[in-house]
Amino acid sequence: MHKLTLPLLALAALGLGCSGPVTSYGNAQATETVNADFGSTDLQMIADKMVASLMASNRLQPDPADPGNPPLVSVTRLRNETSEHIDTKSITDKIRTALIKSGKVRFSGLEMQGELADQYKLQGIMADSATQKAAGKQIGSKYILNGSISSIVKQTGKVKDVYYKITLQATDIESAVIVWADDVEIRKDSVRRLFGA
Amino acid sequence: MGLARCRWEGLPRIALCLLVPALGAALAPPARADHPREVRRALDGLRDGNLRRAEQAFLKTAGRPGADQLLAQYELGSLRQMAGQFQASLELFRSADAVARGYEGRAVLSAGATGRGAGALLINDRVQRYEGSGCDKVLARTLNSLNYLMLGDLESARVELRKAEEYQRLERERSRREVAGPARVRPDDPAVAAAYGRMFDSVRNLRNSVENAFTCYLTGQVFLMRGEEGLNDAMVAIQRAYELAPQAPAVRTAYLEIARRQGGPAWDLAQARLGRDGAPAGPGGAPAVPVGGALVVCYQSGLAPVPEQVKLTLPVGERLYSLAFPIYNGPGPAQPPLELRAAAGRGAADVWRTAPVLDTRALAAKALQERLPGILTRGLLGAIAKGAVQKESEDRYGPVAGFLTGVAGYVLTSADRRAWLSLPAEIQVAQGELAPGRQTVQLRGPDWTGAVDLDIAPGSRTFLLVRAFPGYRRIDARTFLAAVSPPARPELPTATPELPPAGAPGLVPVAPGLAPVAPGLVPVAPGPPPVAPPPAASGPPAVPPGPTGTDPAARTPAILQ
Repeated sequence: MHKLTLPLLALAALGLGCSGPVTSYGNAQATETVNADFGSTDLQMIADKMVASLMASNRLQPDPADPGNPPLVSVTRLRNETSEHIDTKSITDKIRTALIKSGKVRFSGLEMQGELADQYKLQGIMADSATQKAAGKQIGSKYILNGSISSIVKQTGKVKDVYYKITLQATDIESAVIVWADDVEIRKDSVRRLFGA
Repeated sequence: MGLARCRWEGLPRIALCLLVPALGAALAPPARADHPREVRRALDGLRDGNLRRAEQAFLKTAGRPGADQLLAQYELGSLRQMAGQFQASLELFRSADAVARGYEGRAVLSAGATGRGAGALLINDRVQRYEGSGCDKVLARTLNSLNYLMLGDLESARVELRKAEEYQRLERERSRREVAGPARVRPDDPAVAAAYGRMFDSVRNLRNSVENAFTCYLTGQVFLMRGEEGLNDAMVAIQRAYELAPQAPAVRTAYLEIARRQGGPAWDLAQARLGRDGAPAGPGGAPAVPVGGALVVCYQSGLAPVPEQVKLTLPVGERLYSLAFPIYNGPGPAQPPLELRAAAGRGAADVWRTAPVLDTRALAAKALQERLPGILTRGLLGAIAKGAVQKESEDRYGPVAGFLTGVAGYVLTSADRRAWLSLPAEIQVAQGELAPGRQTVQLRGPDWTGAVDLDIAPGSRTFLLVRAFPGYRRIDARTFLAAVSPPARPELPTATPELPPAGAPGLVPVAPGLAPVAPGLVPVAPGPPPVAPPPAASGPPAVPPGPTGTDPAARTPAILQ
């Protein structure tokens, strides 16, 4: 019996040593192919292509009322028309950040109106009148950026095919003219492995 | 189980053959008690209306990977919804979805699955992982869309219903590829054939276990609220609902409502189709466009069926083989409709009744019918495997060992009766229009009454979610205000034959609205919804106990808004 003791102890130690999670840092830009669901690579691909298209189009012109500054844009969330719960705010956030970094566009903090209102109220009470910021001086946006993401899913046996289409458009708020639009298409296939653990 | 060749000279073989099943029957508890302990606990809790007690049966299983994790999360998700904890419920359903998708993506041949399969042969099917049927997945998505709906998140509700439609579409495609035939799955044994024959007869009219009219009806409602952009999707869904449940007045009402909004040919086609099917399609004139708000009632009544077990001992040659199969005993009694009456106004005299659009008992029986070939094959292979083990035991260690192995095999032979127990037996719907203003809607169930105060605005849509079974009931409501005025199309009639005439006061209340920021409908700012905090890391939040008093009035559920 004692002949088995050492191997058993070694196995137990190995088992205990392997029982915890292994954590490491990865490359955020690396291609993610865990499955066919919407993932980080898709988000980055959409943002990169949309920003490149919008910048290359040169369709967003400064507001005549404020010619010295880049045009002000409001962005709304992408409508999610897929069968997955996708954080579409992450997509618009990434696009907005890239556009702001380009210096050719400014963005309105439309989604922060509630917090801004709180600040106006708070500053009206607490702040020095010389530096107090009050409501009514926001700059009106010239364009609004919105869009949608939709998908078509097909599945037969082991194969799953997912097609995503992301459409984005910029509309001149005053004239209601759509001055720019583009879409990005992504197709992903996944095949169930034949053998696995 | 196989009974070994009898070598005891003083004991006739036939006596031993009779002794084994008798001993097995003596060891086996009666049918209901034969369920695992946690299932008995859950059933006791549900039958007492004590959700906390029912929940306790699933908490541990839901929190750790295991054969029953998915089922336990489904159970907890529906229990939380029953308790009005919509946020906690949707998080559980999302967790269950992640588990189910992990199962769907696994390798076709895996060591784990092979091991579980071998274990199932030697023990029983309960060793197998519960991976959820297509029916389960569609219902989980549908119930989760109700969670989002009650929380005012229409976009996420649509996501859930699109996924449910994906599952239904896959099932439709699979059904087209396969030639279904109940006769080919019936075993030869007359008793089993008779038992399953009754079950099959009860589901003969169902296409499959996945498609159901409630999911389609709800899809139509949710896409309808998207405004003009959602009308096509709403029409596709409601037409499918009509194909599945043409008898439900609410489905016809929704069909006509969507057709009216689409106008032109769509309206003509809807009128013609309903007329051809003999359904009342509404007055031929041109009633005014609704001036009130729509009320959609989703009534979940009763509890899902609990599968029972058929256990047979079949003599084959010199051995006895025992087989066990799950079975649903009959379709069950029809659930009485819920009656709704507007307490004031011209609609006061009118009573609406819900009509069934989903029968989980039938769907469960259909799902079992679809799985039966595999169950029978595994059962037969398991019996052969146990017989081989018994023979080996007898050959090596003597007849007593063989006999004991046979007894053990008989006792272990058990049907896989795992099922989603907290689902309703039926889902019934009603739909109508209520006049603007504060309305009190009286509800009358089979043995209870209740009332809801609703504030109705023109163009609004209110969802009333009613869950009731003996010992428990709860009513929740959510109103979505019209962000834009409904388009005036006086040339198109509105036809809701079973409802009060347009303009009559009805049911619907609504709080002062939110700013119209998007087309379609926007959720009314909720009152203090009884939503539980999200599950803690150590486990999901507790479900409050169900009503325990004996006074029916005291058991009246929370009424919101």
